[in-house]
Amino acid sequence: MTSHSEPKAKNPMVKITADGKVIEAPKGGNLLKALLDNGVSVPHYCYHPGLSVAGCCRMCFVEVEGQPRPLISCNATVTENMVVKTQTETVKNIQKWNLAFHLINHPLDCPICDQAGECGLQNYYMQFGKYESRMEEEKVKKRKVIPIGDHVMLDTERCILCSRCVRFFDEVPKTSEMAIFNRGDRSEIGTYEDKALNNNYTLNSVDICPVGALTSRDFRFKRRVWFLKDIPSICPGCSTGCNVTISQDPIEKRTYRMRPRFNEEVNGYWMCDYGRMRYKHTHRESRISTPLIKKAATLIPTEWDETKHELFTIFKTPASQISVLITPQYTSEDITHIYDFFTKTIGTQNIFHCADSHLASDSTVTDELLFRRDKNPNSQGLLKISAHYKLQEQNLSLFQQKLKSDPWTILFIFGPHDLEAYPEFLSWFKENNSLKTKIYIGTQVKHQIPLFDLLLPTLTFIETEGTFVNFKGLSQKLSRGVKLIPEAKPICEILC
Amino acid sequence: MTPTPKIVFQNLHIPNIKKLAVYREHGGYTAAQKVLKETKPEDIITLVKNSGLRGRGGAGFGTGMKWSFVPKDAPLKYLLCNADEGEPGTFKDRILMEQIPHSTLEGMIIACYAIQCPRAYIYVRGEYTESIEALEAAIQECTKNNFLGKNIFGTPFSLDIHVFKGAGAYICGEETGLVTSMEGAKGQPKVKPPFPAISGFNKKPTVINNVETLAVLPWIILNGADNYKKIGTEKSPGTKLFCLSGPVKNPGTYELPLGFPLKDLIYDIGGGLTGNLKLKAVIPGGLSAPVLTAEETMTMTMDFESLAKVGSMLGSGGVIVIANDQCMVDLLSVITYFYKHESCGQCTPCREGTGWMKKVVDSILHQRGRAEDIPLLQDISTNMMGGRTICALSDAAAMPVKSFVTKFKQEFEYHIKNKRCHL
Repeated sequence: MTSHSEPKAKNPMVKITADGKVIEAPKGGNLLKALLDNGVSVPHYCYHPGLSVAGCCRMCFVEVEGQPRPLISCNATVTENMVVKTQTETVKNIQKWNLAFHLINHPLDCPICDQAGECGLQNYYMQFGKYESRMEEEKVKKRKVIPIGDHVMLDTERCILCSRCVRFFDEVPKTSEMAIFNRGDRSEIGTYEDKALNNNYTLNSVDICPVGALTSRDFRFKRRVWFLKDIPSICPGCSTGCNVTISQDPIEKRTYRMRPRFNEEVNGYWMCDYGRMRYKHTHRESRISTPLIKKAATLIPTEWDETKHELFTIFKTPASQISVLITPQYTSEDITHIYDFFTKTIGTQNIFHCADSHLASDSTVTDELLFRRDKNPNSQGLLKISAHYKLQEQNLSLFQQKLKSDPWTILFIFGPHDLEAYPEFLSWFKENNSLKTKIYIGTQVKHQIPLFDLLLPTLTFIETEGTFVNFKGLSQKLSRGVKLIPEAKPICEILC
Repeated sequence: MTPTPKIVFQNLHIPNIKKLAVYREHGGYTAAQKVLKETKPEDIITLVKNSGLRGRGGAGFGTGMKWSFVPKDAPLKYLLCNADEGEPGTFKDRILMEQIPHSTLEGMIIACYAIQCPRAYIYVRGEYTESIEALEAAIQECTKNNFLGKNIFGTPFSLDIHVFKGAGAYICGEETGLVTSMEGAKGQPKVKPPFPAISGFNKKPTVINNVETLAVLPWIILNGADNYKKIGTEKSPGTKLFCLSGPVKNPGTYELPLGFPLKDLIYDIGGGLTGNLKLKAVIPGGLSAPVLTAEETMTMTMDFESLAKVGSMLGSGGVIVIANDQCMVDLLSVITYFYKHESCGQCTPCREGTGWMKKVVDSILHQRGRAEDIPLLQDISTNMMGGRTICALSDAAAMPVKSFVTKFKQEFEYHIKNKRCHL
């Protein structure tokens, strides 16, 4: 991913002084970025490091020695030995007034606004404003609650017309659905009449909206942001491995949203809408919430102790009759544990993987930006580990052949967390074969049909610490969030 | 009164001067031919620099200086003639375009040769249908006679000029607003740097000159920089077109040397105020120029530096006379409406400030005013000025407000205190 405004880091670093502090910044680079990167607090709305410079919010004024008057730092370039002042009375006055200009027609409906708690207007008012409003006139009324796509809700009254969303759709997915219509204080953000906002990147506009003008229809009115805890993780939606931040309510034990986390090498500042919705399969209602065992052709809830007993019996079967199938939706650590356990403790070589070696390293994207055809987050990891055990040839098609020919009686299935990636999954096991017992380890509730004999709930990517290896072979860490299903167990505790 | 030299209006009285043949009979295109056949491009830039010619669109930037910013080695560059005359109180460029279109075209040939640009556009405001017709007819005649097109006058220099019709937005008269409009986008100024001389129309180096500025060029070529400098003042050489409007006996557009006394413009040339009206104030340089009181008017001379000294400006030369029967609050309400309507809405201080000022002025006008509204208007306008926005529209909107509530404070106070107009 390239960021539009910043030259590549090849520019030599030079020293500049900001508020008396000497900092280093790339010569010719964006001054505002240099200040922000070095922890100098400069208010800004329209500037975004992943987009072109608009210079319209007029919040980022600084004084530069030798310049006759204050200038906007987002459109200034770093020069050697420049002396920047962000705290002069002139600058403070500009910040205060320009914030006031932003707020005079703002509805101030924070109590019902989802942005409250992470709003640029609220934050800057506390940091740079704190003035008594002198606006006594009637505010400009504008359109509210406009669904402009499957994922995005627009409130033009809250909008501060920073144009980030417009520039995003023009410059990143290059779909150009949005524009600013009308002029002056009647200006309104919106979509063109013939264009719905339904590309695969619409929710990025919600992330970069500094106020509550664009809100996520998924997250709207669900949870106040100050109840949420952010966990750095990796998106499990495809082989790209976009870096994400997951927001969970740790008390309620629920996941509320997934947003991109900057990684220049992988996803830049963005991620796709498909990926964002991958948190949904971590919800309680779509999960296997307790171990299940088949009795009299129906699955009934059971205790882990009883399943242990079952497994103990199963593992007494001759190793040659035990087979294993793994989907590439588990962390490398889990996959290693599975291979280790079955090759060493059980002593079987009948371990098969569902990773498509061709797809796994396919770098082409299906939508010109980030989304890749392999809807598994860890195909590369699974392939690497299977190769380590010299079992990389044992792929899905070989499994399907052998399922018909080999006298297996036991099958362990490490199922997908994301069923959208495996629409045909269940049909693989419906055919006639010699299997007597099918043990399903996974998370998704759809598998609760009496096709399996034992279902063991494990953890999703949000509840797991570990590694995913993306299509480029880049290993990326997942952090452990709050455990959402009390009964679910990590793989290492199930296989021991 | 000394006879005033005529430069851009020198042939105005000649019948059919808009015809190429008539224009040529009166010395038309000799300057352009002389330049293309005998002069090096850089020498023209030097000549125009030496003449001290300052842009006639409003900002008064040195024309030669503006040209010199264009990179010489750029393969493609543009000259855009700014004919989006929109500053209220200004009606000078239309006379040039309607009556003597060839002088603008000749000026453009000279300018394009100076900066070595093969293609030029005239951005005419859409309402100026007569100007558009006259320019298009003149371009056609020129093209037919090889005064435009390939190898003009048999020289290696080629130039095409096209007319581009604007859609009537005030902001498109701002250089970069004009450029975005020509690029097919909504007319909105662009953030600077880069300046148009480096990256303008279609991201190519672009010079944007006002109609009057270009129309002066043939005279300077033929008469020399020194003769030009003899007219006007030291820092504001030459003549200027002044558009006199308001309740005066002889409103109209007059070409006068810079430094001309404003009093004489109103009372001698303009014939004074109509009826028994008395002078109250003058807006000297188009609507955005800070207002002058009657007292200031009596001693003012019309040049860039004198007006700047009292905090006003020469601007586009639109002199609006205001008489004692005019309520200044009422007038400011109209002025603030104009800027609120024309603000492009891009920069926050301008977008929000123009609307806010209009509402506060209307509150005062409609007897809802509060004592604190006067300092409020002063504060809003002050904080919209001085480079707080991408372009100067914000300043243009703020300056009238600031000057009105400062210089005619008593009228605003009267409205607030007595809940009625003093008139």
